[in-house]
Amino acid sequence: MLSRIAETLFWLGRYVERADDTARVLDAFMHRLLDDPGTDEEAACRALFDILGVALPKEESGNCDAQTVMSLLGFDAANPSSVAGAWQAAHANARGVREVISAETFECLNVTRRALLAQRRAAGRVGPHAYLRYIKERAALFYGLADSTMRRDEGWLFLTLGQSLERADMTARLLSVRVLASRYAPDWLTLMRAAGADEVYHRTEGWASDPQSTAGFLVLEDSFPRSIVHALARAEQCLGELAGTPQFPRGAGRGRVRLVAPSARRVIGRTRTMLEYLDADSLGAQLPAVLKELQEACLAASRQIAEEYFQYGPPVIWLHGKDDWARVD
Amino acid sequence: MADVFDAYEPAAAWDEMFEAPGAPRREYEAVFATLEHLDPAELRFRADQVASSFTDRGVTFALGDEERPFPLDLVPRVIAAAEWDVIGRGVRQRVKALEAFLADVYGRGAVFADRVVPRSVVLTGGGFHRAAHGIVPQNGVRVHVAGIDLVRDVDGRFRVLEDNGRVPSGVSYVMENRLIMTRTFPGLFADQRVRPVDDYPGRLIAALRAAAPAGVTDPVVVVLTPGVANSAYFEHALLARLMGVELVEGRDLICSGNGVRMRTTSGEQPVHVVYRRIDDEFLDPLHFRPDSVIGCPGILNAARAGRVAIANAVGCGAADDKLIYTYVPDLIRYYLAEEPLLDNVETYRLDDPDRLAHVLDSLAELVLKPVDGAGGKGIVIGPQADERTLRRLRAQVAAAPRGWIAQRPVALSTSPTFVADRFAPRHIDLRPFAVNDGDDVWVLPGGLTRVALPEGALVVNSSQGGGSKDTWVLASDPSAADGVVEPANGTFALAPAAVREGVADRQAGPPAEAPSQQQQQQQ
Amino acid sequence: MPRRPEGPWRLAIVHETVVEYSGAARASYNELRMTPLNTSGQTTLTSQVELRPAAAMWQYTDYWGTRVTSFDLQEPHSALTIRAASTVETSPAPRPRSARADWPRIAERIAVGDLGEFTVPSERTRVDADLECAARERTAGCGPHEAADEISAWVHETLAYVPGATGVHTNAQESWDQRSGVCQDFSHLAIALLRAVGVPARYVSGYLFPDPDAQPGVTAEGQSHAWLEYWAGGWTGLDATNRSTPGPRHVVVGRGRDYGDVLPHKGIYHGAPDSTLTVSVRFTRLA
Repeated sequence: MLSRIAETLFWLGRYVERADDTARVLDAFMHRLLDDPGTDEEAACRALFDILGVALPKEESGNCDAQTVMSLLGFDAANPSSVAGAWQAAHANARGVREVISAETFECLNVTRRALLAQRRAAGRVGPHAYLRYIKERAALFYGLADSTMRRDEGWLFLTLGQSLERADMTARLLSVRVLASRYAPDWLTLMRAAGADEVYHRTEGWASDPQSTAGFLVLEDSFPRSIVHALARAEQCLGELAGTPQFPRGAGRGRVRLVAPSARRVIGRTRTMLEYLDADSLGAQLPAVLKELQEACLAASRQIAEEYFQYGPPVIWLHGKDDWARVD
Repeated sequence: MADVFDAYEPAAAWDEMFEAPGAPRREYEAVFATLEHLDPAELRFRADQVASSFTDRGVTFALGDEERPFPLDLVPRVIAAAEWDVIGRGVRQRVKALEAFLADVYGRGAVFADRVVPRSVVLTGGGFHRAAHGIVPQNGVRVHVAGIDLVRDVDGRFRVLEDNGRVPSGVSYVMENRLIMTRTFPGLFADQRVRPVDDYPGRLIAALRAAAPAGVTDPVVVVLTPGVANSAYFEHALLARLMGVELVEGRDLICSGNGVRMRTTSGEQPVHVVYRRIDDEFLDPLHFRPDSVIGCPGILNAARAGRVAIANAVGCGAADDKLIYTYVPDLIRYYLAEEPLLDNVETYRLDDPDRLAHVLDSLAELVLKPVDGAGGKGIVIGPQADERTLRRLRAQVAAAPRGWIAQRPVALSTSPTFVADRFAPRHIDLRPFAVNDGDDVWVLPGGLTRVALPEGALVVNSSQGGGSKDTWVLASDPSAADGVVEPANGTFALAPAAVREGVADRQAGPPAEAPSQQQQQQQ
Repeated sequence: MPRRPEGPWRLAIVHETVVEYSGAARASYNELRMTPLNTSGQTTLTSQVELRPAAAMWQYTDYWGTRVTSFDLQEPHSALTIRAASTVETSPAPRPRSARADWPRIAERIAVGDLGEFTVPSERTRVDADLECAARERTAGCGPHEAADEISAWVHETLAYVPGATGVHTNAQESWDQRSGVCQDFSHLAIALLRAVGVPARYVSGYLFPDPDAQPGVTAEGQSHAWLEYWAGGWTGLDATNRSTPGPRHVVVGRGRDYGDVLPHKGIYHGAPDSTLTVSVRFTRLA
């Protein structure tokens, strides 16, 4: 598969996942704000910006409320960390890979993008939930269509790889705010809801809402698809398959042959193993360090993947020699 | 109920649907019967459905910064089998002549020696590339894909308006139009045997594979696009997807030692056939525009060395020049020893001083076309031009008579088109697509019918307010329907009993429990 | 000075081009037109190109009949050396001018279209209408050969030979306007004027052995050279720079409408934005 296409698919996977995760986070937070009049609205909103790694613009810094959050993190099409912006970026990426994704998946992205404005207007009347739910559903539809219409080839692996890395990263971000700035952070229940984990958690762990076991669930619960360990395992599996299944037979042409194990896989594998062998009882104390390491590993892996698979350049501008190049005198 | 065709007033041209007011031609009877019972609101609903299908699917072309759908009209353009037979053979004949001409132009030049075409006409044409001299395609094909633009005159005869042998586009609309029509207006297809258009990608990939360099048994074919910003990007992506090949940009390719390769996740992989949707001038910065950032330097010499095939070949513009157009009937006679099956539109070259003087005197009655203009650019339609335009044109033509051809205006045929909640006649043309695999020239049944949407307009380009119509070629008899309507004879034509025998029983699922019982349990 | 009757000259030519980049050139694509032709007036005995860094070379004959060597370099490099060496035997005397040169005959050939490319202005042989008109006035009443001689004299007396006064993109009008140029400009201008008066003319790229009296065994530094050929019943050579008829010291490499068709070295690359070029041509008269 073309390196350029592979990279585009990788980011397509990341952006759709990001739109989905961000919508989930916003939805849980918005619900919490409305549900509990005692919440410090400004502090909670600031925490949200931290979680998503988005700097609050200066002109908004004096006045951060639910509306600021929705307009900057929900509707701002120019910011790829917002819901609309991530979707916009996903669509732009998909346009560049229309020949490898199925027509149906593209149509899903396209229709959604065109509907965002109307959905936003509707949100103005009935509140943000409808808008956020729409995005979550459309993201699910996208992955559902991809799952049922895409061949399990390299393209699929890059898409899934992007999705998994983004998910691991987002969950780690969610937790780190709670851990690092608990005063402003939403309570654990909201956090679990933001990760889509509340129902599953209660079913498995009951209502014993002990912070440590909540964090442990989001990080370590292998059977829960939105947990960090699960996402990392999936990313690792994708990388394993990518390394093992070259699309072209080796030796055809003058292809580069990789002799060492790809190191993106090593970065992720090491992190996953580290998590799996973590002493669950002392997780609470280690959590800040673990989360930081996790986010760094996601970044390192993403860079390493680019190094290994996305070797192509921007369009080249060709130069001629000086004006008197080979001039006859 | 008011009949939607009641107010239909045919223009002074051949009408595709009506022989006389209220009397549809035979091939349109079924379409007419379906449409006449629909009221305007219903038609509007369908039209909106069609439009949203296009935008949903992202079937758009870029005009400036805007993504626009190419409007598809509700009324198909129907071509009877016998009529198509002539068109198909005529297009095939024309493409064969153009191929022979190109081989000659870039080869020994017998056509010049025999004084059929003056050499200077080719040498001064913008599409002739000296850098392509000596590049011999492995299977002799240069025009792998051609689009021949046809119009129908007031007597109902098809005439060739223009040849497109460089990078003809529009075939994606043919396929999308059919798909969307069958989805949103299935009723129209009832009782019709319409020849399918989805063979195209299969034919194209076969032709491209056939063009592969000698000795390559399993060639790697790619589609080369200028990128997402190109107005026809959708088509490039669609063709790559339907053919199952990579869609590459110039930066994905590297040419070294006359071999072309692409940068993939498993290293550099060889490429054997490049179906390029980039103009010649941008293809190879070593030979053409050095400022091109979308091309692949070295690819032309790779083709010269026979290591890669470029489709369409570089320099095909030498044959689809508007001046060469005037010679095509002669070329058909010269190379094929046949009479042209499709006539040109009556056209004058301005190389003769008397003819030039005559043309300059009657500009208001003629259509003047710049020889190297594409996409309807620079065309002046005399009868519709104002005095100032004509004055400027006179000066331009007098200054450079070889840069222009003059044509008698053709009253393009009209077809009922849904405009503002009623049917009104609008002018249309037809671009059949031909694919040459070296053994045969295959013509896609139908092609792209373009509609000039503004009333009275004669220019049907997408960039100038054009739309399109689904183009139907009716099958002459059931066996010629290519299996759309009825299964092809052979393996699939099983008797119903045989089907039953070949399929296992299916579990329907456990029987539902009686509701009364549930209610009792809940009480 | 009395001239000895001459036999053929055998010349060894070493044409060395060094391109030094200000940094690394990452990919470069090149075409060389440095191989002398085989014509009725000259025979190329040997010809070879050496490259540093080494690269696989490939040859073809282009539209104009010129032998082209093409190659590409993908590995980063900071300099490129091209050494084109050839041995050529040139005939002692120019072919006699065609005696059947008259205007109707030329007009007839032009009308047929065979000389089409050499009768109309090309990129570098453009001059304005006034100059074309002046050329026609100046040659009024001349036969084709006389017109060519007249134009050659006119160009020679008008332009001063000033290296560096013009560049590769200078066209005939520009060198006329500044009244100076090098052999390439002399040739472009003469070609432009010839075409203006109805004589088909083409550009010739090649080499000129500098010393007319050199004996076998003599080595000299020289340079690439340009002259022209016009059609008057047959092709006739004309060196407008030296106001002479090309002879055994002229070695033909390629012909075209103008310089653009016969560039000795055409190349594109990407990487370091600046480059410097050093060219030397060394001749040895072998026999």
